[in-house]
Amino acid sequence: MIVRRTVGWLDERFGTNALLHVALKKIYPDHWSFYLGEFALYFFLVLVGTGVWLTFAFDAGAQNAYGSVLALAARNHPIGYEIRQIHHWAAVCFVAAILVHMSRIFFTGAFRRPRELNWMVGVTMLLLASFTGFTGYSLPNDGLSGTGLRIAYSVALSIPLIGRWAAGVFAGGDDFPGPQLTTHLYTLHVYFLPVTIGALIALHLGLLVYQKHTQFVRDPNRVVGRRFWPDYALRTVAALGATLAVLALLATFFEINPVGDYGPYRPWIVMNGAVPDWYAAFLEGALRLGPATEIRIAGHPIPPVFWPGLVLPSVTFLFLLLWPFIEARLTGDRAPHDVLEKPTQVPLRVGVGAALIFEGLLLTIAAGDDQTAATLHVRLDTLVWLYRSALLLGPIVVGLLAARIAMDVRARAAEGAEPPPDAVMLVRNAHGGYEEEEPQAG
Amino acid sequence: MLILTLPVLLAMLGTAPSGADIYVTKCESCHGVQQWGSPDGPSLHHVGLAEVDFYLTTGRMPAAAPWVQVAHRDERAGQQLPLAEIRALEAYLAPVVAGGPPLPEVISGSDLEHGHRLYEINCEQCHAVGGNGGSIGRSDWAPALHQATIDEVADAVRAGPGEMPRFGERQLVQSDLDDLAGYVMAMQTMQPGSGGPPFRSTGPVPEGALGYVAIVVLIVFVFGYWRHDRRETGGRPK
Amino acid sequence: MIVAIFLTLTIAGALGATLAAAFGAPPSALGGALAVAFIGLAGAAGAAASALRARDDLTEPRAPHGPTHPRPLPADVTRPVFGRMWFAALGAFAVLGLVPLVSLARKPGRQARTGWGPGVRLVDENNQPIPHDRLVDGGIETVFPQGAAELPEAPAVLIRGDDGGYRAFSKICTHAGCPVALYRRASHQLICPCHQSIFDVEDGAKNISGPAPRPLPALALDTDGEGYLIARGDFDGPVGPDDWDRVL
Repeated sequence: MIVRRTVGWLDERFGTNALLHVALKKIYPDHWSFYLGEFALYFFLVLVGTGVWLTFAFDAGAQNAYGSVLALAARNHPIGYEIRQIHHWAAVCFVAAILVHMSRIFFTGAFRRPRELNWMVGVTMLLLASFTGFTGYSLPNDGLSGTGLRIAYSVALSIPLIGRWAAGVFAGGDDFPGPQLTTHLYTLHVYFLPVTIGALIALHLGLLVYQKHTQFVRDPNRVVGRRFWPDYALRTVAALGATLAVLALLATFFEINPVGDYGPYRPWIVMNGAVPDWYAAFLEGALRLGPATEIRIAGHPIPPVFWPGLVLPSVTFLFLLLWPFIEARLTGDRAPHDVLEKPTQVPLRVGVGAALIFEGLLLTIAAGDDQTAATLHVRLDTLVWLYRSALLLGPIVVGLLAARIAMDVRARAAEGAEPPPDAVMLVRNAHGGYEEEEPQAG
Repeated sequence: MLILTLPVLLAMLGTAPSGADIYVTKCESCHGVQQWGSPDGPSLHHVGLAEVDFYLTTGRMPAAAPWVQVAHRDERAGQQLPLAEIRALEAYLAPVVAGGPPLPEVISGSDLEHGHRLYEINCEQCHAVGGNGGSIGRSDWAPALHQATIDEVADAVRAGPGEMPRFGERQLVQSDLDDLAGYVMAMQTMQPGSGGPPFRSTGPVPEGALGYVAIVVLIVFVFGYWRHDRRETGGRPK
Repeated sequence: MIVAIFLTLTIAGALGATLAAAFGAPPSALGGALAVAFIGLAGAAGAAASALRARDDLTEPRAPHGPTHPRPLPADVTRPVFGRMWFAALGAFAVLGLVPLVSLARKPGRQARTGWGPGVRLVDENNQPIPHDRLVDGGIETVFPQGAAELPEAPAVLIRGDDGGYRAFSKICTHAGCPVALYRRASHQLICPCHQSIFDVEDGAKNISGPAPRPLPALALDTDGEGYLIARGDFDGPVGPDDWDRVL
């Protein structure tokens, strides 16, 4: 009753009923893999919700940052503890969900024309989400995250020509840690980054609704799926409930980021096994595997961290960002597509995707090479050389292999669609013998 | 019958082997007749009783297979010799090992905050947060400290076994050692099941892995639900 | 109905969580109740959606792709207005826009940030000077210049070798700036735990493995009249990772 009255009130002033009718009866294609993006969205919403609470409880001044986190999130303050745990788990899951969702989009070709822009918006959000996570867990200024910041500072310093400027702006001062470092991180994490992500999400969803979702059903002229209200809406709520439930279970039973154990950041203290959160671990691995060469241009050094720390992720990001155009050029397929493909339909894509996943996984695993070496009782420097070789050769091998397999599967699928012309159908009769049967007409 | 059990009875009557006997049977083959060492084991001269006590009480020694790096034995391989034999052995070796760090005294200190500070600057870089242990390069490992006894901690701090540095009495005075050892002991009780969360974090690596497990759980949920729903409504296959 | 059961769970969970929060129950209770509430929500919505037995092959047309061909705009809209000078003006504003960006620039000098010099005493983390018998053979300690301990490039490691001699090196790794805190006594190696650079203590902390491009700069030591350790000068090289402006 209240709903009816409110809707009427709005319609009298804005004429919203027409839009509402369209929205409620809109058809959305349904497949389990289409919910991955929703999971990412819900994780983001949780991050914003818990994050707003945290901004009121957290003291962003560098002196008190660490102490305020300990106070607000101690286990004897259950509400603060739960909220902070949920917040950090949501961040970890948010980036994971984006990556899984992005893989689905990639391998089913949903990014193809006319959806290239939406793909680029998505890849940008992946980057921003990683930055948001990094700045966020660096806010408490604890021993672990402070170490990561120091490394990030060194990477910023390593940029040719503008290194000191970039590092100085980042650190908020002439050295690390600058007096305004925590404040900069705070404004980035609480304002610039989430607002940008929010705006991009609005764009992302807007484009998706306007261009209509892609689908597996091979009917290019029509959207085939479920009605938004109440069908799809209920399913969405179920996905939301599942997301929240998983977060609540994680936050309650599995502790994340115990900053109390890490102590406040002090530049002369470091703990063994210091690695960043998983989504930055590939950078850590790259830094460990990178060669020690420092080249000089007219006496100006380009420190070795520049290549694995900045060039590698930038090139990868650009490659991912521009993939729809790269693929269109390589396959020659510039037609618009609303129907999704089986991944094996385009072996080039499978190969490139497999190679990228291999690189990412290898670099992530390399972030823990010291632990691996000690556990497997192999020398660390041997392992480093092994990883380096795998880094250079692996993607080629994996990519070619994956593409080959995809080609095989695709060929077999095409074959299996119809029986060859000289096929006979054998059936077993009641006496146990076999007899031929005429094949069914096509 | 009696004749057969006689040696056993005699042994049980407490004619314990002397330190010299133990050394001959368990140590000499690697550490040499006069403790000068051999290709299989280092010299014991002037190593100090702290080091001897550490290796014996943690069970790193006697080493049946000396070519297996003793560093690879985790914190407590399990004390192999009974305490009486260890003491006898130590008494026997005392003149030889003198000159190195002596057996330290230690009681569990009460200033845990100070102990934490000392742990952070002296220990954490190898033994990691929470005493979880960690790699120290090559294929070597600073062991976890979850089962160390307070005497073992004190021994290790003073003696610096293996690759571990030595922290002498001028660097860590007795009260420092007490506080540090007290903190290490306190860390052990901060393990799961003692008022903390059911699963304590051991770093960003398992945290990230769990994040993906969560995504997998969600995928299983939607996939299962979608399939189940398909069957129920008789939807047509994609 | 299943939906009713799940909704009961939801209500129980949400109210339970509220009570748990109000009475200060431990996080396990609070979070557990939350989880129950959300599982209830997911189950209720899912069961309700299933119960609809709705069709999943409903259709609506897709808009055709490709360029649209609207009627041409009226002439008063399409007549040219903005010539090249307008774009030049835009460009000029873009150049102006660099000003606030560049004004954030700082070109800090990185000299005199170590705090070490001739005669400066070594102190520990508690600002106590270091007597010459402070460490035993095989010992290591983190040290700072007296009176300048808070400078970012100040921290150093003091090591006493098997021969009883002292060595000191910058603790800031020349790779990415982490403290080189790990010391392998028997192998005489300093290791940075961040990316596993190894420095040979017996060879001037030369970088023998890992991604560090330079050795750790060394600090020459002496003892003063009262037996405390002092530095004989600054580090013998630049501290920490390099940057473009650090022309050697």
